[in-house]
Amino acid sequence: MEEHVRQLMRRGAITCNEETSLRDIAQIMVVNQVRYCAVINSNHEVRGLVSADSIIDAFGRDLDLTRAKDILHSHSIVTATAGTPLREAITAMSKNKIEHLIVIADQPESKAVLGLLCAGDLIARMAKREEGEANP
Amino acid sequence: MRVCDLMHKGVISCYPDDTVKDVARMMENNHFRSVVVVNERGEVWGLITYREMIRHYGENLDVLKAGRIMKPYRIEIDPQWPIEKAIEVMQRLKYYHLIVVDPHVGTKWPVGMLTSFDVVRYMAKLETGHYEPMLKIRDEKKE
Repeated sequence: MEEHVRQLMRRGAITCNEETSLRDIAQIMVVNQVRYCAVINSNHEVRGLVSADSIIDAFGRDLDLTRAKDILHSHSIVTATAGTPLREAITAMSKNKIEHLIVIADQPESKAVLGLLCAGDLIARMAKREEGEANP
Repeated sequence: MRVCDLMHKGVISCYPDDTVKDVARMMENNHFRSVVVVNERGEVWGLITYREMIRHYGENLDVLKAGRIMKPYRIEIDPQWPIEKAIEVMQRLKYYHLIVVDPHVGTKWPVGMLTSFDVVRYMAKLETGHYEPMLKIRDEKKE
């Protein structure tokens, strides 16, 4: 049976605003013990995702003056819906070299964040698989 | 601030002949995001992170060997380097997990790991140290 993102995603996500400074994002990550922060605009639409890696790329800039929108890359807005096949989602993750995939609502007019697919949850699933079950 | 002040001391390592299934278990049990592949002399050979792992989701992990999927790793990070120099390496090579090796012995023995999240933690603490007590409590629990 084909697996879907729904089965492995986490509901809910840590978010920040487009105008949040880099220093605040770093603190949000550390306090919440996560390596990502989804960026949303005032209409709660997803604008992208800032990861610990993209913060590294911005190191050296002024932490208070750099905003979340300044360090968003085009590849950071890769999204999936809960009904996306898992294989497709994983391909998108490895192609874009990301470890977190934002899951949005499955309606064209709404881009609200529903949750997140993390590479860590995929690994946990791989570790638990029994022999013979490995080839779906 | 030097690399050795921020890095995780010690690494989780495996051999190239270990199966990917074992690597997945190691990551899961130790809550590590990367496993260092070492050769029989204990020298750094390669690195397996989440990115290398998720590509093989759904494959038969019991026959796949760690040596097949690892990313070869050739750079050497000295624990005494200033942290800025290590970050520059991260930015330039797009390596977000740096293996720190002992410079004093001839062989490349891994002594620690510096990840992007360690740097974020360092950046978050720059300002007032407001979250410092929270971090300390967590560290004590870990020990």
